[in-house]
Amino acid sequence: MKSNGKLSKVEEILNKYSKKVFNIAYYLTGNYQDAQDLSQEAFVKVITAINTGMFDTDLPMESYLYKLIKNLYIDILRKKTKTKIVSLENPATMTEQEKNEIAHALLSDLQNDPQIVIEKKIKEEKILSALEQIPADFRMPVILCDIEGFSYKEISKILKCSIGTVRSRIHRGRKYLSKILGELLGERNEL
Amino acid sequence: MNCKKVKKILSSYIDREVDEKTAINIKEHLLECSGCKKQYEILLRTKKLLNSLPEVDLPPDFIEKVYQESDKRLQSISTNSLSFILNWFLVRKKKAFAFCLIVILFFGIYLIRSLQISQKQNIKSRNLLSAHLASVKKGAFCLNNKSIAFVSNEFSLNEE
Repeated sequence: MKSNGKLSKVEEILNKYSKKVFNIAYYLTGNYQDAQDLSQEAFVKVITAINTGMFDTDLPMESYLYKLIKNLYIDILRKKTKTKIVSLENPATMTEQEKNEIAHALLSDLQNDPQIVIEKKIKEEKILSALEQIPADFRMPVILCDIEGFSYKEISKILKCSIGTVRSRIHRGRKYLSKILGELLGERNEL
Repeated sequence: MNCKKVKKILSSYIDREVDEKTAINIKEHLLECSGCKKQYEILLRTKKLLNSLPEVDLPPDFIEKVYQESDKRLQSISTNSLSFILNWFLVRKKKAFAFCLIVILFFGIYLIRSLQISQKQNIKSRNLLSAHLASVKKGAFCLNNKSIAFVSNEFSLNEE
Protein backbone atom coordinates (compact mmCIF):
# COMPACT_ATOMS: atom_id res chain seq x y z
CA MET A 1 0.00 0.00 0.00
CA LYS A 2 1.35 3.35 -0.99
CA SER A 3 0.10 6.26 1.12
CA ASN A 4 -1.76 6.54 4.42
CA GLY A 5 -4.77 8.07 2.65
CA LYS A 6 -5.06 5.15 0.27
CA LEU A 7 -4.45 2.65 3.07
CA SER A 8 -7.21 4.09 5.21
CA LYS A 9 -9.59 4.12 2.22
CA VAL A 10 -8.80 0.47 1.51
CA GLU A 11 -9.27 -0.41 5.18
CA GLU A 12 -12.57 1.42 5.23
CA ILE A 13 -13.80 -0.42 2.13
CA LEU A 14 -12.77 -3.81 3.50
CA ASN A 15 -14.33 -3.21 6.91
CA LYS A 16 -17.52 -1.85 5.49
CA TYR A 17 -18.21 -4.18 2.58
CA SER A 18 -16.25 -7.42 2.95
CA LYS A 19 -19.01 -9.26 4.83
CA LYS A 20 -21.77 -8.06 2.50
CA VAL A 21 -19.79 -8.81 -0.65
CA PHE A 22 -18.86 -12.26 0.63
CA ASN A 23 -22.48 -12.89 1.53
CA ILE A 24 -23.77 -12.08 -1.95
CA ALA A 25 -20.95 -14.07 -3.57
CA TYR A 26 -21.88 -17.05 -1.38
CA TYR A 27 -25.55 -17.00 -2.33
CA LEU A 28 -24.66 -16.39 -5.96
CA THR A 29 -22.16 -19.22 -6.32
CA GLY A 30 -23.72 -21.57 -3.80
CA ASN A 31 -20.45 -22.58 -2.22
CA TYR A 32 -17.90 -21.23 0.22
CA GLN A 33 -14.76 -21.65 -1.90
CA ASP A 34 -16.11 -19.94 -5.04
CA ALA A 35 -17.53 -17.17 -2.88
CA GLN A 36 -14.10 -16.65 -1.32
CA ASP A 37 -12.36 -16.54 -4.71
CA LEU A 38 -14.96 -14.24 -6.21
CA SER A 39 -15.09 -11.70 -3.40
CA GLN A 40 -11.31 -11.78 -2.97
CA GLU A 41 -10.80 -11.01 -6.65
CA ALA A 42 -13.34 -8.16 -6.50
CA PHE A 43 -11.53 -6.51 -3.57
CA VAL A 44 -8.10 -7.06 -5.13
CA LYS A 45 -9.33 -5.30 -8.28
CA VAL A 46 -10.65 -2.35 -6.30
CA ILE A 47 -7.51 -2.03 -4.14
CA THR A 48 -5.22 -2.28 -7.18
CA ALA A 49 -7.26 0.38 -8.97
CA ILE A 50 -7.14 2.71 -5.97
CA ASN A 51 -3.38 2.30 -5.50
CA THR A 52 -2.55 2.83 -9.15
CA GLY A 53 -4.85 5.87 -9.35
CA MET A 54 -7.09 4.05 -11.81
CA PHE A 55 -10.22 3.90 -9.69
CA ASP A 56 -12.71 5.67 -11.87
CA THR A 57 -16.42 5.08 -11.49
CA ASP A 58 -19.60 7.06 -11.12
CA LEU A 59 -21.20 4.29 -9.07
CA PRO A 60 -21.24 4.21 -5.26
CA MET A 61 -18.65 1.78 -3.87
CA GLU A 62 -21.25 -0.79 -2.81
CA SER A 63 -22.90 -0.88 -6.24
CA TYR A 64 -19.49 -0.97 -7.91
CA LEU A 65 -18.43 -4.00 -5.86
CA TYR A 66 -21.66 -5.86 -6.67
CA LYS A 67 -21.19 -5.04 -10.34
CA LEU A 68 -17.68 -6.49 -10.12
CA ILE A 69 -19.02 -9.61 -8.41
CA LYS A 70 -21.62 -10.01 -11.14
CA ASN A 71 -19.02 -9.65 -13.93
CA LEU A 72 -16.58 -12.01 -12.24
CA TYR A 73 -19.35 -14.54 -11.72
CA ILE A 74 -20.26 -14.37 -15.41
CA ASP A 75 -16.57 -14.99 -16.20
CA ILE A 76 -16.59 -18.04 -13.93
CA LEU A 77 -19.74 -19.35 -15.61
CA ARG A 78 -18.16 -18.90 -19.03
CA LYS A 79 -15.01 -20.72 -17.94
CA LYS A 80 -16.88 -23.64 -16.45
CA THR A 81 -17.09 -26.33 -19.07
CA LYS A 82 -19.13 -28.73 -17.06
CA THR A 83 -22.67 -27.63 -16.34
CA LYS A 84 -24.73 -29.04 -13.56
CA ILE A 85 -28.14 -30.14 -14.78
CA VAL A 86 -30.73 -30.82 -12.12
CA SER A 87 -34.10 -32.22 -13.00
CA LEU A 88 -37.07 -30.28 -11.68
CA GLU A 89 -38.97 -33.50 -11.28
CA ASN A 90 -36.26 -35.03 -9.08
CA PRO A 91 -34.95 -32.26 -6.83
CA ALA A 92 -31.39 -32.48 -5.59
CA THR A 93 -31.07 -34.58 -2.49
CA MET A 94 -28.45 -33.90 0.17
CA THR A 95 -24.99 -35.32 -0.25
CA GLU A 96 -22.97 -36.95 2.52
CA GLN A 97 -20.81 -33.84 2.79
CA GLU A 98 -23.87 -31.66 3.31
CA LYS A 99 -25.16 -34.02 5.99
CA ASN A 100 -21.77 -33.86 7.72
CA GLU A 101 -21.82 -30.07 7.57
CA ILE A 102 -25.23 -30.04 9.21
CA ALA A 103 -24.07 -32.42 11.88
CA HIS A 104 -21.03 -30.22 12.48
CA ALA A 105 -23.22 -27.12 12.77
CA LEU A 106 -25.40 -28.99 15.22
CA LEU A 107 -22.48 -30.01 17.39
CA SER A 108 -20.92 -26.56 17.38
CA ASP A 109 -24.17 -24.97 18.46
CA LEU A 110 -25.04 -27.00 21.50
CA GLN A 111 -26.64 -24.07 23.26
CA ASN A 112 -29.56 -24.12 20.83
CA ASP A 113 -32.19 -26.80 20.45
CA PRO A 114 -30.61 -29.39 18.12
CA GLN A 115 -33.92 -30.11 16.44
CA ILE A 116 -34.45 -26.43 15.57
CA VAL A 117 -30.84 -25.98 14.48
CA ILE A 118 -30.91 -28.94 12.12
CA GLU A 119 -34.28 -28.03 10.66
CA LYS A 120 -33.09 -24.48 10.05
CA LYS A 121 -29.90 -25.72 8.43
CA ILE A 122 -31.76 -28.15 6.16
CA LYS A 123 -34.11 -25.38 5.11
CA GLU A 124 -31.18 -23.11 4.31
CA GLU A 125 -29.54 -25.83 2.25
CA LYS A 126 -32.74 -26.32 0.31
CA ILE A 127 -33.08 -22.59 -0.39
CA LEU A 128 -29.45 -22.50 -1.50
CA SER A 129 -30.00 -25.50 -3.75
CA ALA A 130 -33.09 -23.85 -5.26
CA LEU A 131 -31.14 -20.64 -5.86
CA GLU A 132 -28.48 -22.63 -7.68
CA GLN A 133 -31.10 -24.08 -9.99
CA ILE A 134 -32.55 -20.85 -11.30
CA PRO A 135 -30.87 -19.24 -14.34
CA ALA A 136 -28.00 -16.84 -13.51
CA ASP A 137 -29.81 -13.94 -15.18
CA PHE A 138 -32.62 -14.21 -12.65
CA ARG A 139 -30.48 -15.19 -9.67
CA MET A 140 -28.55 -11.94 -9.31
CA PRO A 141 -31.57 -9.57 -9.27
CA VAL A 142 -33.46 -11.89 -6.91
CA ILE A 143 -30.50 -12.02 -4.50
CA LEU A 144 -29.98 -8.27 -4.67
CA CYS A 145 -33.65 -7.64 -4.03
CA ASP A 146 -34.64 -10.35 -1.54
CA ILE A 147 -31.42 -10.97 0.37
CA GLU A 148 -29.68 -7.60 0.15
CA GLY A 149 -32.79 -5.42 0.03
CA PHE A 150 -31.86 -3.21 -2.93
CA SER A 151 -34.52 -1.21 -4.77
CA TYR A 152 -35.26 -1.89 -8.46
CA LYS A 153 -33.55 1.37 -9.38
CA GLU A 154 -30.37 0.39 -7.55
CA ILE A 155 -30.43 -3.08 -9.10
CA SER A 156 -30.85 -1.59 -12.58
CA LYS A 157 -27.72 0.52 -11.98
CA ILE A 158 -25.70 -2.44 -10.72
CA LEU A 159 -26.80 -4.76 -13.53
CA LYS A 160 -26.76 -2.01 -16.16
CA CYS A 161 -30.25 -2.72 -17.42
CA SER A 162 -33.63 -1.01 -17.39
CA ILE A 163 -36.00 -1.07 -14.41
CA GLY A 164 -38.46 -2.96 -16.63
CA THR A 165 -35.90 -5.73 -17.15
CA VAL A 166 -35.21 -5.87 -13.41
CA ARG A 167 -38.94 -6.05 -12.71
CA SER A 168 -39.41 -8.90 -15.16
CA ARG A 169 -36.31 -10.84 -14.03
CA ILE A 170 -37.24 -10.61 -10.36
CA HIS A 171 -40.76 -11.77 -11.06
CA ARG A 172 -39.72 -14.64 -13.29
CA GLY A 173 -36.86 -15.60 -10.96
CA ARG A 174 -39.15 -15.59 -7.94
CA LYS A 175 -41.74 -17.69 -9.77
CA TYR A 176 -39.06 -20.15 -10.82
CA LEU A 177 -37.73 -20.26 -7.28
CA SER A 178 -41.19 -20.72 -5.76
CA LYS A 179 -41.75 -23.76 -7.93
CA ILE A 180 -38.39 -25.36 -7.05
CA LEU A 181 -38.74 -24.51 -3.37
CA GLY A 182 -42.25 -25.93 -3.36
CA GLU A 183 -40.88 -29.23 -4.59
CA LEU A 184 -37.90 -29.20 -2.23
CA LEU A 185 -39.98 -28.30 0.80
CA GLY A 186 -42.70 -30.76 -0.13
CA GLU A 187 -45.31 -28.18 -1.07
CA ARG A 188 -47.26 -27.66 -4.24
CA ASN A 189 -46.62 -24.21 -5.63
CA GLU A 190 -48.52 -24.00 -8.89
CA LEU A 191 -47.86 -20.59 -10.49
CA MET B 1 -57.68 -4.81 -13.17
CA ASN B 2 -57.74 -8.33 -14.65
CA CYS B 3 -55.94 -11.42 -13.35
CA LYS B 4 -53.38 -11.48 -16.18
CA LYS B 5 -52.21 -7.96 -15.42
CA VAL B 6 -52.22 -8.51 -11.66
CA LYS B 7 -50.20 -11.73 -11.91
CA LYS B 8 -47.62 -9.94 -14.03
CA ILE B 9 -46.92 -7.27 -11.43
CA LEU B 10 -47.38 -9.22 -8.23
CA SER B 11 -43.67 -9.25 -7.44
CA SER B 12 -43.44 -5.51 -7.98
CA TYR B 13 -46.42 -5.11 -5.63
CA ILE B 14 -44.69 -7.27 -3.00
CA ASP B 15 -41.53 -5.17 -3.35
CA ARG B 16 -43.55 -1.93 -3.18
CA GLU B 17 -42.34 -0.97 -6.63
CA VAL B 18 -45.74 0.05 -8.01
CA ASP B 19 -47.47 3.41 -7.73
CA GLU B 20 -50.11 4.04 -5.10
CA LYS B 21 -53.07 3.75 -7.45
CA THR B 22 -51.90 0.38 -8.84
CA ALA B 23 -51.22 -0.87 -5.30
CA ILE B 24 -54.80 -0.05 -4.27
CA ASN B 25 -56.17 -1.77 -7.38
CA ILE B 26 -54.12 -4.91 -6.72
CA LYS B 27 -55.11 -4.95 -3.07
CA GLU B 28 -58.79 -4.78 -4.03
CA HIS B 29 -58.32 -7.49 -6.66
CA LEU B 30 -56.61 -9.80 -4.16
CA LEU B 31 -59.58 -9.51 -1.83
CA GLU B 32 -61.84 -10.83 -4.56
CA CYS B 33 -59.65 -13.29 -6.50
CA SER B 34 -58.50 -16.45 -4.72
CA GLY B 35 -56.22 -17.57 -7.59
CA CYS B 36 -54.21 -14.34 -7.58
CA LYS B 37 -54.23 -14.28 -3.78
CA LYS B 38 -52.68 -17.77 -3.73
CA GLN B 39 -49.97 -16.74 -6.15
CA TYR B 40 -49.33 -13.61 -4.11
CA GLU B 41 -48.89 -15.68 -0.94
CA ILE B 42 -46.50 -18.10 -2.65
CA LEU B 43 -44.34 -15.29 -4.01
CA LEU B 44 -44.39 -13.48 -0.68
CA ARG B 45 -43.33 -16.65 1.12
CA THR B 46 -40.44 -17.14 -1.31
CA LYS B 47 -39.28 -13.59 -0.65
CA LYS B 48 -39.54 -14.14 3.10
CA LEU B 49 -37.61 -17.41 2.86
CA LEU B 50 -34.77 -15.68 1.00
CA ASN B 51 -34.87 -12.80 3.42
CA SER B 52 -34.50 -15.22 6.33
CA LEU B 53 -31.18 -16.55 5.06
CA PRO B 54 -28.41 -15.75 7.54
CA GLU B 55 -25.39 -13.62 6.78
CA VAL B 56 -22.46 -15.92 6.06
CA ASP B 57 -19.32 -15.60 8.18
CA LEU B 58 -16.19 -14.36 6.45
CA PRO B 59 -13.32 -16.85 6.26
CA PRO B 60 -10.92 -16.01 9.11
CA ASP B 61 -7.97 -15.11 6.86
CA PHE B 62 -10.02 -13.31 4.20
CA ILE B 63 -8.74 -9.73 4.75
CA GLU B 64 -5.14 -10.93 5.06
CA LYS B 65 -5.41 -12.85 1.78
CA VAL B 66 -6.90 -9.81 0.03
CA TYR B 67 -3.97 -7.66 1.17
CA GLN B 68 -1.42 -10.31 0.11
CA GLU B 69 -2.99 -10.78 -3.30
CA SER B 70 -3.31 -7.04 -3.98
CA ASP B 71 0.34 -6.51 -3.00
CA LYS B 72 1.32 -9.22 -5.49
CA ARG B 73 -0.85 -7.64 -8.18
CA LEU B 74 0.61 -4.18 -7.55
CA GLN B 75 4.16 -5.52 -7.78
CA SER B 76 3.45 -7.25 -11.08
CA ILE B 77 1.86 -4.07 -12.46
CA SER B 78 4.82 -1.88 -11.48
CA THR B 79 7.28 -4.30 -13.10
CA ASN B 80 5.29 -4.62 -16.29
CA SER B 81 4.75 -1.16 -17.75
CA LEU B 82 2.90 -2.49 -20.80
CA SER B 83 0.25 -4.15 -18.67
CA PHE B 84 0.03 -0.93 -16.64
CA ILE B 85 -0.76 1.05 -19.80
CA LEU B 86 -3.25 -1.58 -20.91
CA ASN B 87 -4.91 -1.53 -17.50
CA TRP B 88 -5.06 2.24 -17.63
CA PHE B 89 -6.86 2.07 -20.94
CA LEU B 90 -9.20 -0.66 -19.72
CA VAL B 91 -10.09 1.00 -16.45
CA ARG B 92 -10.31 4.59 -17.60
CA LYS B 93 -12.29 4.02 -20.73
CA LYS B 94 -13.58 7.60 -21.00
CA LYS B 95 -10.15 9.14 -20.49
CA ALA B 96 -8.57 6.62 -22.84
CA PHE B 97 -11.15 7.55 -25.44
CA ALA B 98 -10.39 11.26 -24.96
CA PHE B 99 -6.67 10.54 -25.21
CA CYS B 100 -7.14 8.61 -28.46
CA LEU B 101 -9.30 11.43 -29.80
CA ILE B 102 -6.59 14.01 -29.06
CA VAL B 103 -3.93 11.82 -30.70
CA ILE B 104 -6.13 11.37 -33.80
CA LEU B 105 -6.80 15.13 -33.87
CA PHE B 106 -3.11 16.02 -33.72
CA PHE B 107 -2.25 13.41 -36.31
CA GLY B 108 -5.02 14.76 -38.55
CA ILE B 109 -3.74 18.33 -38.22
CA TYR B 110 -0.20 17.15 -38.99
CA LEU B 111 -1.46 15.22 -42.03
CA ILE B 112 -3.42 18.21 -43.38
CA ARG B 113 -0.44 20.54 -42.83
CA SER B 114 1.96 18.22 -44.61
CA LEU B 115 -0.52 17.85 -47.48
CA GLN B 116 -0.82 21.62 -47.74
CA ILE B 117 2.99 21.98 -47.79
CA SER B 118 3.38 19.35 -50.50
CA GLN B 119 0.60 21.04 -52.49
CA LYS B 120 2.42 24.38 -52.26
CA GLN B 121 5.64 22.72 -53.39
CA ASN B 122 3.80 21.14 -56.30
CA ILE B 123 2.41 24.52 -57.36
CA LYS B 124 5.91 26.04 -57.08
CA SER B 125 7.50 23.34 -59.21
CA ARG B 126 4.61 23.54 -61.69
CA ASN B 127 5.19 27.31 -61.99
CA LEU B 128 8.90 26.71 -62.51
CA LEU B 129 8.16 24.16 -65.17
CA SER B 130 5.71 26.40 -66.99
CA ALA B 131 8.25 29.24 -66.82
CA HIS B 132 10.83 26.91 -68.23
CA LEU B 133 8.51 25.78 -71.00
CA ALA B 134 7.72 29.41 -71.81
CA SER B 135 11.41 30.22 -72.04
CA VAL B 136 11.93 27.18 -74.27
CA LYS B 137 9.24 28.50 -76.53
CA LYS B 138 11.04 31.84 -76.71
CA GLY B 139 14.15 30.10 -77.92
CA ALA B 140 16.35 30.27 -74.89
CA PHE B 141 17.71 26.78 -74.10
CA CYS B 142 18.15 27.29 -70.41
CA LEU B 143 16.31 26.59 -67.23
CA ASN B 144 16.42 29.82 -65.25
CA ASN B 145 17.18 33.51 -65.42
CA LYS B 146 20.80 33.01 -64.48
CA SER B 147 21.39 30.61 -67.29
CA ILE B 148 19.49 32.91 -69.67
CA ALA B 149 21.81 35.72 -68.69
CA PHE B 150 24.79 33.43 -69.12
CA VAL B 151 23.64 32.33 -72.55
CA SER B 152 22.93 35.90 -73.67
CA ASN B 153 26.37 36.99 -72.42
CA GLU B 154 28.05 34.20 -74.37
CA PHE B 155 26.06 35.16 -77.43
CA SER B 156 27.07 38.84 -77.24
CA LEU B 157 30.76 37.87 -76.75
CA ASN B 158 30.67 35.65 -79.80
CA GLU B 159 29.15 38.47 -81.87
CA GLU B 160 31.97 40.81 -80.88
